[in-house]
Amino acid sequence: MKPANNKKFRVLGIAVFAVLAGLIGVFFVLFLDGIIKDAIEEQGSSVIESQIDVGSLSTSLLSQSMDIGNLQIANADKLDENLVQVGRIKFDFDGNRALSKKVIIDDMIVEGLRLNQKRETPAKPYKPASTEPESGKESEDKSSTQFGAPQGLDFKNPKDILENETLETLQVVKKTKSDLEALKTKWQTQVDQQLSKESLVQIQQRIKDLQAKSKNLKNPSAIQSITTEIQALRNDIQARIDTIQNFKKNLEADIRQAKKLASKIKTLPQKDFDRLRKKYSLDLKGGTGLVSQMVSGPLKTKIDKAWGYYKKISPYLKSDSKSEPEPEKMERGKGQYIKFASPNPFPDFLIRQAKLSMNIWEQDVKGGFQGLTNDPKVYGKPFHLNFTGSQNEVFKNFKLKLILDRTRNEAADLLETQVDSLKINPVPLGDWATLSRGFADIDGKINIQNEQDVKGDFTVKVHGATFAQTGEAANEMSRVLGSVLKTVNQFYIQGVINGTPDEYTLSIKTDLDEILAKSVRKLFDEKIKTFETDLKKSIAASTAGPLSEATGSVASLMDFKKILKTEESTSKDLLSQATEKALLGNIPGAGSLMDKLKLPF
Amino acid sequence: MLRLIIKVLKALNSNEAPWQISLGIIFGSILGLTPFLSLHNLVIVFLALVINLNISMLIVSCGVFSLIAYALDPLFHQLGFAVLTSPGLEGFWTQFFSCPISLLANLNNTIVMGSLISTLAAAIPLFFLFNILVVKYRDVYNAFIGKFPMLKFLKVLDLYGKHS
Repeated sequence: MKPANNKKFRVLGIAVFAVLAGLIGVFFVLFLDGIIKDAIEEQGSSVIESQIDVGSLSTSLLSQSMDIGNLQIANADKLDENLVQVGRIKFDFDGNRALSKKVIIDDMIVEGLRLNQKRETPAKPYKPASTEPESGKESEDKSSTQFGAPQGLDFKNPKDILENETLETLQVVKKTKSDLEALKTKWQTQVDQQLSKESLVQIQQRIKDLQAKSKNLKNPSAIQSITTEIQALRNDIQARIDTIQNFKKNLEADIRQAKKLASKIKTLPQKDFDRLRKKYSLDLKGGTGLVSQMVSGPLKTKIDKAWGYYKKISPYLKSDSKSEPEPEKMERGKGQYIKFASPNPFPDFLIRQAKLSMNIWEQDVKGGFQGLTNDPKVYGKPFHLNFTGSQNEVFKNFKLKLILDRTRNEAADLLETQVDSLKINPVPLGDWATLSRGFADIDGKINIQNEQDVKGDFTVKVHGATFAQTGEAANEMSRVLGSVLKTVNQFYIQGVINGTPDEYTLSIKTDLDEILAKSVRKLFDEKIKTFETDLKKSIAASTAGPLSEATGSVASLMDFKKILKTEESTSKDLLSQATEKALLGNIPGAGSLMDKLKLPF
Repeated sequence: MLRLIIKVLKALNSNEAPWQISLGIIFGSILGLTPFLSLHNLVIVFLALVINLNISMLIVSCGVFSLIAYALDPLFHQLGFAVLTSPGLEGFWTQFFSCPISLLANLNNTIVMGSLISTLAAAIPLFFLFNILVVKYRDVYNAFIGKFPMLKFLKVLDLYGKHS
């Protein structure tokens, strides 16, 4: 049997541990770069939902530095484009802080920074493709189709327009007519039922009967009986008169209402004309607005892109040092990290300062940033980014300043830019002209309070501008606009932004629109006038018939007024005939008897 | 599975002292129940190599406890969370985690803290329990072998084959 080895310690174990530790150390030294590179590419891509490529990466644990070459971050919404591309990033990190899981970089050098560059191969998608159309693309498309070729002066025939358009006048007239017809029927029924000719004939007959009876009166009881009949007859006639007067009052109200409707529909053809003129004619009174609308589409695309960057950066700049641990957030197998207040609080991530070189418009600009951290409140200094460039082939001067201040409860961000004499590359203005040359002075400033309240303005002053007509003009209007632009050598564009990053208004003003409108107005006023007169006549012709029918319906209501007047006068005549005096006046003793009976009439 | 059982039986029937086997099981349980890639496990591996414990038992124990560790995660998380967020210990933890090594060891993670506390708390009673069980097992085993001369003969042959 093997002798028992019951010694408490084995010295060889220390050697085995040392060898194991050494092997692990060598493994790390040999493969650390690859491990970090893979971690950035795989885990980094999953976190930001966009492909990250690292060309090369080398780490030096002794000098505590890292050098990353050709870093590419793809645009998740446009896989053949890189959102950011960096030639080289070199930085030193604080090894002591790294032990506390803090990434603190004192100095960083970023070279060859480029934005929105085409990728050699499309990136792998990390998030489902968005089903919503890109707002920028939409506005770009809109701008190129709606304003690509300005509407010429080949106005549509007014008759064709009316065939394809529904006139409000006709719709309202139809309804009014049917309402008036209903009213007319109502009155006809009322008059027929309550003021029938038969009832009038009956009253006349009763008067005749009473006259005949009065001739044969022999005793006081007969006289009393006839006076009662006279009284009943008078009551009936009076009721008829009351009904007529009541009808007259109601009819007046209905006629007033009908007249009101009739006068309202008379204004509708003008309303229809205004609508169709706006749609089919050219409103040159406020300028063509072509340039403003053409500029606003692509500009909105660029602003939306900038908001995209802003929204991506913002969450990383929010202080989370005060967050309370929540037990339900535990991820299976991973647990939850509890944060404790530190006697010397310090952000988990900080780049104190970095020197940057960026390529913009194919020109190098130098700059830098300070204070990029995940916890600005703890760090106590806002993030500053500056770029400057001067005197090169493309511009005389370039300045960009960005401040993201999250050190207080309310975020206050500022973006300022100034570019002097920026050489303009040919800019197509729809299909009718091209701004082929020129220089732009750009000044802009945007303030964002609390990441929501956006206020900004910018001015672009273009000088030394040369416009060229693009190919053959599609129509007369294009030709005129093209030739007018040839005479323009300087103009300005002013813009004001207000709202929130998600919903903002961009108003653009440019003197170019005024110049164009003035010229176009002069040339085309006559044609526009003729078109508008023809349109007005056509609308009048289409609506005249129905309008007169509607007015006729009002007139037919007036007829009832006449009928009621006649009825009233007839009834009053009958009432005067149906008096005791008229019917019994020639009977002896009737007057004394009447006095005795104290009849009320 | 069979190999695993053979390894356990071999360790139990070896001439090693019960404490060597028990400590192997205890160290294996710490390695298996706590997240493997943690700084404290480096210390455990170092101790396991320096202390003359049964390495086979440590490996088997580590494997077995790793299998049940995932199921115990919610319990470890709850315990770790309760300990780390206990108001009475706030001052202690603040001081403790101001030392970078504590953070590097991931001790502010609820599962690391919960599992480490559980395994360390269970280590001493379990050590003595396993000691007793090993001694009991060996008594029963030897008594069983003693009853059958054929088995005794095979055991001697087996040992002879190994050491000849």
